[in-house]
Amino acid sequence: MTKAEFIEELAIILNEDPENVKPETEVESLAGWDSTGLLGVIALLDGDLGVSVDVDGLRDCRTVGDLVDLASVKLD
Amino acid sequence: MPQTHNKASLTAVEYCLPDRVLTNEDIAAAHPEWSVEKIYEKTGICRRHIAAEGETAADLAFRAAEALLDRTGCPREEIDLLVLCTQTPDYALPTTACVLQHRLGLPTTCAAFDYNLGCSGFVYGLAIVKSMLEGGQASKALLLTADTYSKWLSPDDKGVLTIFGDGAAATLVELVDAPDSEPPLGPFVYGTDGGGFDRLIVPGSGARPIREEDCARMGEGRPKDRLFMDGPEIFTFTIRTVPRTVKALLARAACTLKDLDLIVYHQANAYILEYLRNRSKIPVEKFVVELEGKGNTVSSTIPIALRDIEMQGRLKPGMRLALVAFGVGYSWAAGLIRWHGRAN
Amino acid sequence: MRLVAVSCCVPRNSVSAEAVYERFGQEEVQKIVRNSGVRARRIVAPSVTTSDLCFESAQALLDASGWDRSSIDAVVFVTQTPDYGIPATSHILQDRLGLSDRTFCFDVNLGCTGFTHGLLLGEGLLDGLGMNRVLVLVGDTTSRSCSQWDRSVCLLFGDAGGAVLLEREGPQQVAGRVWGADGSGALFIQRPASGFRHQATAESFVLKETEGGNRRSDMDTVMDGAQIFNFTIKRVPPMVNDVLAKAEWTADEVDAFVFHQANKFIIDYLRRKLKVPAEKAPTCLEEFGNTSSASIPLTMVTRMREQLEAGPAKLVLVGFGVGLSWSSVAMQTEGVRVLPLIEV
Repeated sequence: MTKAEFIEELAIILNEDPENVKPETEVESLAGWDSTGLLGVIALLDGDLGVSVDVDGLRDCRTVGDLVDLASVKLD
Repeated sequence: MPQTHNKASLTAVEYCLPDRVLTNEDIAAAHPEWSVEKIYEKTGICRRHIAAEGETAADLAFRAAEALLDRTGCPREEIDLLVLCTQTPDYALPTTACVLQHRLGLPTTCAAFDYNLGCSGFVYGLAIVKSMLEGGQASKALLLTADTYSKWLSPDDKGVLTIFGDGAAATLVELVDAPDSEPPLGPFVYGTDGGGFDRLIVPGSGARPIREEDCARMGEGRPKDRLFMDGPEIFTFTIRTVPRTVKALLARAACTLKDLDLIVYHQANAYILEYLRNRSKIPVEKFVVELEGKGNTVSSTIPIALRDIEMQGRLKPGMRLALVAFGVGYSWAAGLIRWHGRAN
Repeated sequence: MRLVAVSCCVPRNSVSAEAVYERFGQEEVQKIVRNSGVRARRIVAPSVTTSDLCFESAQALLDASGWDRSSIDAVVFVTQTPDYGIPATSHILQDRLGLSDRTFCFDVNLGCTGFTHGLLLGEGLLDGLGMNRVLVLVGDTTSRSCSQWDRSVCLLFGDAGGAVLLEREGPQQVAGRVWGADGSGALFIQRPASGFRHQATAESFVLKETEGGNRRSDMDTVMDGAQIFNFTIKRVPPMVNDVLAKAEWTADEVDAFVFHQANKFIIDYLRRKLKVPAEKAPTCLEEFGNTSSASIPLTMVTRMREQLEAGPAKLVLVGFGVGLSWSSVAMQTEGVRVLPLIEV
């Protein structure tokens, strides 16, 4: 999975138009960034990418770019 | 003689009492109708230890377990079962044993859960742990007993204030070599009579909404979120049940009192212990009474007494003991143990 | 150990998700339901407790079995909503069910893993202590320990009680077993003031505003969904693979994987990760919610009756959650008696 594909997957999970989701986008501004959305992101990281998730680290993410960084070790 | 590596044995005990002490003098000062002498005469107790505010049964259990692991040098990664017997847990949810699993640095392969029993708890605990070890589900267990009954007591209830003390014990149970004919733990006999549930109860302590019939024995004006103990009823239950339980145990083990070195009863109070000793004709020198400085620490009385008599040199490896526990529930159990004890 | 029979009891009162549209907003509720899969839950009347539900289940089981009640050697009552903190509730059940006064009874404090841990405890009593017949009772009235103003929990949990009869006689049905605990996550599901760590005051019952506009008190269940999910996906797949390896089974030869009914999102995720087709992972949470330790037996009773009664079935039972704890049992059942669901 590339970084672009990852961001696209995030958009789908968080119920956002992929056009509106960029690395600098703040996660708090995304409508789907709530308790349900968080589960979806964990599932994406763990299931699709095999990234071991630290929930506290995930909660510290401010931007979409921060989320990409979490996944980066497994992205092309 | 058939040998097996798979027999559960009690190999070491440690205990922990909170620092603060409640003496008979303290109680008499607050309740002038009772004298220091009278309290001792009725209970055989001089001092009980009382947990501080913010200090829980789990804290006492933690300290007892740490002391046990330190003294025995038992590697923490080898513990694969942690059971906590308590009626005063840190939480109703989650189980406090899991909290302790983490605090003690035990591996995640260690199963952990609380079980709820009171005075009968240690003997049942030995049976539960034996069942898991000899059933092949674990190999080394920490059996923790811990309670802070003081936090359930009404300050006006001198009957219970004089008797109960807080404390915890940690017991190591592990698989050893032993012949089939001489198991280190067992046989056991058990008993339950739930008809006596309301003789020692805190009516508001669980999910059952308070009902008139549960509080019928309590009398008017007693707080429903405090411990109620029907002393005379419990005494009647005890004298009716314990002597025949001891008989049943001896029959099950095909032995007599002569074959036993020591008998350790749940240390309820000295009055009832002496009564029961007489009833069952147990010689004084074989009968353990160790509650003067600690009071009734619920499920910890027996392991605390074991550690005390071990430290006194009275309990020696190879000795055969009968443990007899009885109380709240009503619940009772008795079992034979052979003391394997570690050198230190 | 042989699983002889299973029975469950739920309250007749079913509360649908629609019933709280007004309270939380229709869109919000629908979103939660899409994720959890729980369209309705059973809620007990105020006077009813878990032990009542388990009593009904056990009574039906004992009647149907035709067994002499005095042949039951032990009652293990697994719950986080017992009638009382003192005494244990299993004694009361012994009395209500008319069991012998030699019965071994104790309560165990566990939630989501209560059934799978309970089976292993039952197996230990049968194999390790040589008992013949054990009654394991499980369940919770979680609805009463959740704030009805907290949509993160109140829409998820339903009430239920279950009972299984286990017997030593017959072929060994358990082929594999795994269990463990990790208390570092103990507080990911908790009721903060429900025990003695934070002793309850009047303040503890006051509803307070929390994240997302939810309101709960310190006596109510609070759950960190993300942490629980993360824990589950880390621990459960390796555990299931481990139990399959111990049983020497392939996933293909398993007839059914019965997961603790946590929520649909988690079960679907686990199913996909373990490559278990939907038809091999029956669920009942849609109709009953997350019923804690009763969820696995409730799934058996409501979704697997024909399958279990017909003949041999290779089952993998999967428990995970509160503690944090986990356990899995691989067992080949044969002609289990499954009683119709009891509603009260």
